[in-house]
Amino acid sequence: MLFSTLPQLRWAGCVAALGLLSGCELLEFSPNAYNGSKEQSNLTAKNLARMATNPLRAGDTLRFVFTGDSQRFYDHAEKLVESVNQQSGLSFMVVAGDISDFGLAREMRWVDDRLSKLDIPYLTVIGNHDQVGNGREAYQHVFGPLNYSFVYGDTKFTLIDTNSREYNFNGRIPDIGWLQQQTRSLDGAKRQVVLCHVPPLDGDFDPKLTEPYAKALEVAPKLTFALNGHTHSFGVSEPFDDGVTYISSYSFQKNQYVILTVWNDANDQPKFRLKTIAF
Amino acid sequence: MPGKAPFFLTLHVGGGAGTVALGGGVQLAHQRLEPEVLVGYVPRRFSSKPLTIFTFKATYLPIRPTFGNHWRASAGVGGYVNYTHGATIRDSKDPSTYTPGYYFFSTKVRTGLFVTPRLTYAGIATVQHPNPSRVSAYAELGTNDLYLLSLLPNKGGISPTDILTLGFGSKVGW
Repeated sequence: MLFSTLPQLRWAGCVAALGLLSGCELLEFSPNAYNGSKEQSNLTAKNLARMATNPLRAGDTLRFVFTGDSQRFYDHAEKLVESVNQQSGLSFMVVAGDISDFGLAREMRWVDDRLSKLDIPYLTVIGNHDQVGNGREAYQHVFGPLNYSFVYGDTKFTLIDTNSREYNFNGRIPDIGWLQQQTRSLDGAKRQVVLCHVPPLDGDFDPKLTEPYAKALEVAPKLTFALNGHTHSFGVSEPFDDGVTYISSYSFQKNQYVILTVWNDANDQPKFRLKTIAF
Repeated sequence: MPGKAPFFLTLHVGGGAGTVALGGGVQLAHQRLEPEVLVGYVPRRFSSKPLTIFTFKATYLPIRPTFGNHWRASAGVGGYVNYTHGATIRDSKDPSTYTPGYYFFSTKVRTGLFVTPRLTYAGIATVQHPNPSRVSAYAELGTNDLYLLSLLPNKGGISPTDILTLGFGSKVGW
């Protein structure tokens, strides 16, 4: 991350890259374009690769940071990073969407400039603000897939695009078939977590898909909880009275984040503990 | 340099107006004010699908010292408004998708400000050629409305250098 951490070198790089045109973010073709440093592309894959080099032993309790909606709160992001770096025993951080406010690649890179200073990797799911303008394409270039899953330690994570309004409620977002396919199998894990941006009872979630989405989570084996952002306010609830716990994240602006600890009890059922940290 | 033929053509790179943009305009107010229009293009490599950008720009050049018979150095400021069209651009003001005010900003219309240094070479006017052609090279260092909105509410967040945009180009006038 040489270019992102040393502004002087980034400027020197920009001058050197003038001939190449595309390597320099300063030489702006359009705010909707995503030309710039290759260091800040495919960040999801890079962070997953980083996690793979630091695996959690089977049976170990998993501890991770849960937050969301970084948007234009850059000063808050710096304080959050300072606070998270003081915690111990964390494996990674998840950001529940709305990395950007205007769907611009520069915004996503400004957030990465800060979150890349975390001692732990971080992962994101796309939010509605990340999709406006050319944001959906910029997000895929800077971060990666809109829907993806991974197993870390004994926990499977499924991250899914639930920003139905950004697809004009076309009935295909969230992709229920893909969600069912992912949550049906634990891929060797002992529990699972689903993360999205817009929660299923929000006005920006396709109402035709609310019930199938909730049902997919209800029948998902060993589901610990479902996580979301978008509301900017922290909350824990069981909105469908179906035994599925939904947890909504703080936004960066709230100067608080959550540490989630997950494990399985003696009956091999998933359990979690939740701790709120102010910064 | 005679000001009887104030038209010029522009080849422009970056500055939020496209990877490459072509256009032209006129020189007014004793060659100090230059309104122009540009059509820019961003290839899919940088934006998933190609973008077309229509820009109206005005440059004011109050400082215009000459050096010898041919050279002139200028410095000025300018502003622009542009509209972006592209197959993947989602319009934040689309009434079929969003209620009024859902997003307060436009994703298709951008405004911006810049400062611009310029170097111009001009032929010498003669009886036979009273309006010799002239060619200029310029740079533009600026920013746009959304980047300013990203900077202003953040005390200690991103820095002014983060929001800078660079463009450069050449103008041929006759």
